[in-house]
Amino acid sequence: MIRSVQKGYRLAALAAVGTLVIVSCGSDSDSSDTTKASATTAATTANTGAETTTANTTGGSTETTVASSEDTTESTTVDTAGETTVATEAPAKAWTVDTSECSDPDAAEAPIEGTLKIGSAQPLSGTPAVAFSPVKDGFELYLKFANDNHLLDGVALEPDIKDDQYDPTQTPGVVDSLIDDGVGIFAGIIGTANNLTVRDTLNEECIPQLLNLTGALEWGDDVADYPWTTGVLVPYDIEARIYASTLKGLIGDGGTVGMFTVNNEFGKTFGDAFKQAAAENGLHVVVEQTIEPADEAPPTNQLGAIAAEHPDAILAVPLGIQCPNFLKELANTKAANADWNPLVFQTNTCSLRLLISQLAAGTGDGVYTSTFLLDPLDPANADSPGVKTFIDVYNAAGLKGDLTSTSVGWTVGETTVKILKQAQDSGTLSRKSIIEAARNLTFIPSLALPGVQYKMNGEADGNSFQTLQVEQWHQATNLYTFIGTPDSSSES
Amino acid sequence: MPTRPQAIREASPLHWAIRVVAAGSIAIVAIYLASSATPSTLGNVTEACTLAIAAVGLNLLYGFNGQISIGHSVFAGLAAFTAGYTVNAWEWNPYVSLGVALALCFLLGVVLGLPALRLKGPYLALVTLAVAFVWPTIAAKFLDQKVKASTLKGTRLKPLTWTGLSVKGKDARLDRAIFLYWTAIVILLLAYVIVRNLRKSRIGRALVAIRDNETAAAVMGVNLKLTKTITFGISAVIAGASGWITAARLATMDENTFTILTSIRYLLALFLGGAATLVGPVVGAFAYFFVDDYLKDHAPDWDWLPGPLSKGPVAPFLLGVLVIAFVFVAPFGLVGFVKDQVRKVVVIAPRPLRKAPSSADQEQHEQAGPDRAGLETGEGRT
Repeated sequence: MIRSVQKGYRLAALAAVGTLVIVSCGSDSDSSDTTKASATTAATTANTGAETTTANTTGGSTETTVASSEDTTESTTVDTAGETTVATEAPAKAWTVDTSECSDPDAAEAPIEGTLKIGSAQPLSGTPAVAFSPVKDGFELYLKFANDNHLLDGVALEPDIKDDQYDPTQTPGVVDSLIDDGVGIFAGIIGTANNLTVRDTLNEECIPQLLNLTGALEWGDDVADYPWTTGVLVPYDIEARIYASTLKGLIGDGGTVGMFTVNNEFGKTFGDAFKQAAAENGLHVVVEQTIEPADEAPPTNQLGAIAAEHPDAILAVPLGIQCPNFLKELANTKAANADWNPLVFQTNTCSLRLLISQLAAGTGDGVYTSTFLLDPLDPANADSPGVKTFIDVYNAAGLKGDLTSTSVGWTVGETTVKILKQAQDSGTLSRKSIIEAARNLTFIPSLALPGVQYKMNGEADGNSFQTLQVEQWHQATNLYTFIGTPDSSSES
Repeated sequence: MPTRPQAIREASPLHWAIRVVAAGSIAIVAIYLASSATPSTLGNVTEACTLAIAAVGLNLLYGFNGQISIGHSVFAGLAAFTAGYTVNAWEWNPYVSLGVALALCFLLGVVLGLPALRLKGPYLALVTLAVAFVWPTIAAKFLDQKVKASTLKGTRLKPLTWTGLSVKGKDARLDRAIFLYWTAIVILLLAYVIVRNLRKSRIGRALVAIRDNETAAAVMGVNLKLTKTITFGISAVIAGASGWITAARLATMDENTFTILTSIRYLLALFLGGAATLVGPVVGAFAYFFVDDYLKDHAPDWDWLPGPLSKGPVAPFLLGVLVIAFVFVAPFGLVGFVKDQVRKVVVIAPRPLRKAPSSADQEQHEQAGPDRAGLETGEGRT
C-alpha cells in the first residue's frame, strides 16, 4: 500500500511538474540572436546624429498640449524636433476628473514630489511572454532615458513591473502589492482581461491606469464610468474594420473568410468586430475556429476545418507563440490542399519579427498585418531622429530582446513621460493632473508613423491611437512593405 | 544507541496543551496579520486560503476515499459563475448565492460521482479531466448567451455593516481586504472542521475502508454507491466554496478563470502538504502559494543562476525542480515529512483499548449491534 501510494505521489508530482514546465516553455530566453544582429546593423547606420536627437530630449517627438485651464481656448504648440508642428483646436473647456468619489480625494490631488513609482503587470513568464516580455525592457529604458535627461523637473521615475503571467486571476494580487509598495500610477498593463479585472480597484482608489496595452473597446467607451483608465493600442474594432475594407479590395465583394481566434477577451472582441465589418463590406465569414489561450500545440484540427471550406482569406487572431504555430501549421495544411492558397491577415500583436519570421520558419511570407509605429529594423527609417535615439539608447543599455517589441515599450514609456510632463506643466503633478493630462493631449511619439498621433479629448474622444497602416511581410527582404496609406478614417 | 522517543498519550493534558498552543499560535498570527498587514499581503493569504479550501475538499475525496479528480476547478467555476450571475443579473444577496451555488455544486458532484462507481484510478482521472476541459466551452456559451458579454462581473463582496469595516473612504481597500481575509479563513475553518469530523466519524472509517479495499468494505456493510457519490458531492461543495471566494475577490471572470491548471494547482497543494492528513492540504496550499509568489518576485533577478537560467523568467521552471526534489525527499508531503522527523523524538500514543467487556456487557453489546469499540481502536492513522 505504502509503496503504491509513494509511486502514485511520484507520478502525480511528475505530471504536475510536466505541466509547469510546459507552461514555462513559452518563456523568452535567448530567441533574439537574429534580432540582435539586425539591431546592431541598424544601430551602425543610425549612429550619426544620435547626439542631436538626444538633445531634443523627446527624440523627435512632436506635441500639442491642451491647457487645462477653463478659460483657455487656444492650444499651445511646442515643436521639440523642429520638424513637424501639429495644431489642433483646443476644446472650449478641458476635461476634468471628479475626485469626490475617490476613496481618498486628498491623496488624488496631493502633489507628487521626489520619486514617482510607475507600476505595471505584464507577462514576464509563460506562453505570451515570448512576444511581450521585451515591452518591459523598452518601457524601463525610456524611463531611465527620461531620468538621465531630466525630462521632468525634480521628479525621478522608478518603474516597478511585476509578472502576472498574462493570467487575469493573478493581476489583482500584483496590482495590490504594487499599490502597497507605493506605486503612484500604472502604465502599460498587458491584456484585456487583466486590465478589466483591476480597473474597479484603480478607479475607486483614483490611481491612473494609463496606456493599457490592449485594444479593447472599453477604454474608449467607458470614460464616464472609468475615467482613470485609458488604453494605448488602436481599438480592435478599428483594426478589424481596416482589415475588412482592405480585404474587400483584394478578394472582392462576396469573398469568403475563415476566422481563427484565441478564445479569450481579445480574440472575441476582435472576432465580433471583424464579423460586423465583414458583413458591412460584403464579405462572408464561412468558418470560425478558436484556440485556448494556453494551447501551444499546432492548431491542426482548426486549420483542417478552415481548409475544408476553402475560404479566400483567413483572419487570424492568435496569441504569442500561437502566431508562428498557426503559420507553420497553415503551411502544412496548404501543402495538403494544393488548390487552396488563401490570403492571411494576422493581428498586429503577431507582427513582431520573432513571431512572423524567426519562430515561423519562413512561413509568414505574404502575411498581411498592420502597424502604427516605425519599424526600427527597416533601413528606410534609419534617418528618423526617433529611431536613431531609440537604437542608440537600446544598444548602450546592452539589451537583447526583440527590437520591435522593445520599441512598443519605449513608446509607452515616452507617452507616459509626455503625459507626466504635461501634468507637471499644468501647475501641480498629482494623480488628478496626470489623468487630466492624459485625456487632454495630442502628441506624436518619436517612433510614430507619419499621420499617427496620440490624441485624446476627454469623454468626446477616449481612444488614443486610431490610425493604422496595413503592411505585408516579405521573408526574402526581412521587411514589411506598406499596402496603401495609413488609414485614419477613425480619427475624430 | 538510539534513544527511545518520548511518548505522549493521546488526549492527555499534555497533548491537549500542545493542541491548544498550536491552535492559539495560528489564531494569534491570523489576528496579527489582520491588524497589521497590507491589503496585498491579506489578499495573498486570502488567495492561499482559497487554494487551501479546494485542496481540503479534494483531500476528502482523494486522500480519504481514494477517488482522484482533476475536474475540481469545474465546481469552483460553477459556484463562482452562479454567484457572479445571480448577484449581478438578479441582484441576489451574495450569501444567498453562496447557498444556491453550493447546492448546485453538490448536485453536480453527485452526478460526476456516478462514473466513479465503475471507474478507478487513471480512468476516473480521465473522466474528470474531460469535464475540466469541457468547462471553458460551457462558460463561454453562458457568457455569450446569458451575460451577453465576454466577462462576468464578480460579486465584489463588501464588508457587512456589523463588522464596523468601512465600505467607502480612505480605508475601504484595506477594510475590504480584511473582510475577505476573515471570510476566507472562516470558510477554510468550516471546511476543515467538516472534513475532520467526517474523518473521525463512522463515515470517515467507511471512506478509508473503501479507499483501501472496496470489497472488504462492502463485505463489512459499507454502502459503496451512497458513500462514494455523497463524498464526491461534499468534496464538490467545498471546492465550490473556494470558487465563491474567487468570485468575491475578482472584479471580472471569464471562461479561462477556472481551467485545468486551476485543478492542477489544487492537486499540487494536496500532494505537497500531504494527502490523507487533515492539515496537509492547508499546509501544502500555503507553501505552494508563497513559494510560487516568492520565486515570481525574486527569481528573475537572481544573476547567480547558471547560463540561460540567469536573469530570465525562470520561476515556473524552478518551482517544477523544487517540486520534483521535494517529492523525492518527502513523498508523503510536508506534513508526512515533519511527522516522520517528530516521531523520532516524540510519539503520540493512542488511547488504550477499552477494558475487555465482561460477559454481561458482551451480551448486552451483541444485542445492540456490531462491535463499535473494535472499530474505534482499530482506526487507521493515516
